[in-house]
Amino acid sequence: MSERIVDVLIVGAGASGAALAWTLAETKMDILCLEQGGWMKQEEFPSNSIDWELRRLADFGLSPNDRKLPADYPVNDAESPIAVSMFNAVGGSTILFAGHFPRLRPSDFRARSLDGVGVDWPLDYRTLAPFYDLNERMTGVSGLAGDPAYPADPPKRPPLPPLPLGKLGETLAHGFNRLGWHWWPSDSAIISEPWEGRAPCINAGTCLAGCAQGAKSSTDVTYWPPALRSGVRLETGCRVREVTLDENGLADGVIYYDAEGVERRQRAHVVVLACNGIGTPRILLNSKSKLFPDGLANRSGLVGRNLMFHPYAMVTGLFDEPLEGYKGATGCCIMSQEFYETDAARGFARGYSFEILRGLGPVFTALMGFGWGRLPWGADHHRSYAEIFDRTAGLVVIGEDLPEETNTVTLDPTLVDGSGIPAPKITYRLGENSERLMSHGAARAKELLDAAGARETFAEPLLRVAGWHLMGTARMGTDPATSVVNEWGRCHDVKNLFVVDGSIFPTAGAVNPTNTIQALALRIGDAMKRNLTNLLD
Amino acid sequence: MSDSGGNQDGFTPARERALVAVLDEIIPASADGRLPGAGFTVAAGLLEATFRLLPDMRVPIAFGLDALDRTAATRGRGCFADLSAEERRGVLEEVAVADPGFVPTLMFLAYVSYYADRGVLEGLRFEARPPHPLGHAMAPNDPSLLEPVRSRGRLWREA
Repeated sequence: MSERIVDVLIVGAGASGAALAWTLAETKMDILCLEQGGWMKQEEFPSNSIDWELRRLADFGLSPNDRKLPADYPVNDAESPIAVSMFNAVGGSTILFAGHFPRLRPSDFRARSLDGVGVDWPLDYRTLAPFYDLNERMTGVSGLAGDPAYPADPPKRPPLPPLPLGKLGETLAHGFNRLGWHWWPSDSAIISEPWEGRAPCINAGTCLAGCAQGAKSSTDVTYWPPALRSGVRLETGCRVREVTLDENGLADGVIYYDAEGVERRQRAHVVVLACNGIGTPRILLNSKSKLFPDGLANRSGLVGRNLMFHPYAMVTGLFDEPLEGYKGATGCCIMSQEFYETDAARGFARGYSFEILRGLGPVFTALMGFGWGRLPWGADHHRSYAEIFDRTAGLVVIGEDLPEETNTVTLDPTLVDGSGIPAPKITYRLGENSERLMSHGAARAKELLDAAGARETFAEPLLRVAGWHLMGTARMGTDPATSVVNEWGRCHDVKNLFVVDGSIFPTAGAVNPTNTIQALALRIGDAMKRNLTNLLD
Repeated sequence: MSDSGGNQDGFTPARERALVAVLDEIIPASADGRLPGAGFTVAAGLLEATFRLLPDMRVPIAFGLDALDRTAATRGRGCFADLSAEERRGVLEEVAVADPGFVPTLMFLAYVSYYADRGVLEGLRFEARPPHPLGHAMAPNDPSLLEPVRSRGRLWREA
């Protein structure tokens, strides 16, 4: 047992934990982060090998249930049409994320007031804007100022120029222009020019398998190096089981298993959970006590409820000409927000974004071609393959998922991880609004691909593998009866326990959440710094 | 006949013969000779490398290969590898009906192994190298493409 009591104990070294550790480091408090995964080595990433696509299906797969690495924990997602995708390492899921880095829009913070659905956030766009700015500088965001989809005041100015569109991107941009629809080069957590000692993107097209170049801004290469230099300590291979309480009902540390599987205890004055929308409620629900028989900080009954993914649909167009789609950042090319805001005439509330996906490598061309029924076995195989290889462009629809209390993370009664800790179980169904929204989006995606010159399209109305945005399961708000944490990430029920990850999103918006997750973590950290003397009052 | 007794996922010589034959059926050599049949991936060790990464595939593939040989035998034609191309297709279709998961699994295995091979990539006239560290050169963006978007004005809602 460790008797050393740290000032701040952060659980999870991913997007939010890293940002918080960095911003708190200047206080010179004793800060420790426990992470169940280890450090990734860029020289071991799949893109260094010719069989890199195969490894995306194995040890670099999106689902922990497929990878089954020692750092992973299983997730029972059998009762969900969307499977959970996450990664466990220093950097968390930013290791495998595409790097899309948009902000939420002003209306996303006011879904209830504007559209009568979901709930309002306890803060607004303007309040979060300075922390978006800071996060985008720390991350090294590539993009283009002037996007009419965002307010000009305060301005959004990505510090680096946008990534190249390439032939594929330009082909689809022409399609958007023919329809008169909005599009803009993606805000990308991928550096287009040298930045803070890192080399820029080389357009390898392997982002989803980790970035061997180090150009993708996973937090192991952004926030962690300066945080560690400033004295934050990070221990890997440590899987936290539960948060413990003292006799006054304050968090006093955690119990965890170290890399050798030995049960240990770490005491702390302040505990911060940064395990995202599934890992955080899992720990809270595992932390039962006489004071909190239904899980820690769960007097509202909302821990684990209101799980939101972003449902994804994917429509792929088949073109006559090669598109050089294997070149360039996999997911970061163009974003369109033509259908983002509510339009009652469409028959659903809120909206969705489009994001362009690059083309497919040789292996995934074959697998997708088989899935589309376009790649027969036998004599016609090679001719059919030649018709689709480097001739595809994908468009994904990212729909806003509304919070519903019946969509939950609970503890599985039988499934456990390698340390014997109960695993999370996902119970989720797509709401009616989301179904209408996604159906509209898939039809518009086809329209766009047709306008761009596709001769054929293939639609997946709901992408099962796309459960990588995990939000809402410890939502923030001003009322303890209807939220788990306040606008500063502090649990209503336990005043020295904080949550800083995607769990605290009241609503989801329709863009990738990492920029917002980190901006919130920086804002919460800023508040903690300003209130050090009365943090526990 | 394949020897399946007491060796559920081992690839015996008999199973390897069946595997080579059925892979060549799924992806035959191209007519112009630029691309080999997928059966070569067995001797080249590519399939074994795939199985190391995806070990859960071994058993269903082994069972399916045994089924190919058994079905060939019921037709009085020895083992699958000894059949004519037409007979192989017939047997494969019969096994595909009896075990619907086998052919998709086999095709998955064939594709991920075959299309990661250097020689195959060269045959496709694709750069046969890891993506890193060379990456790819891309042309700069054409800013005029955005003019129609800029001219539309704001798209966000006041909140």
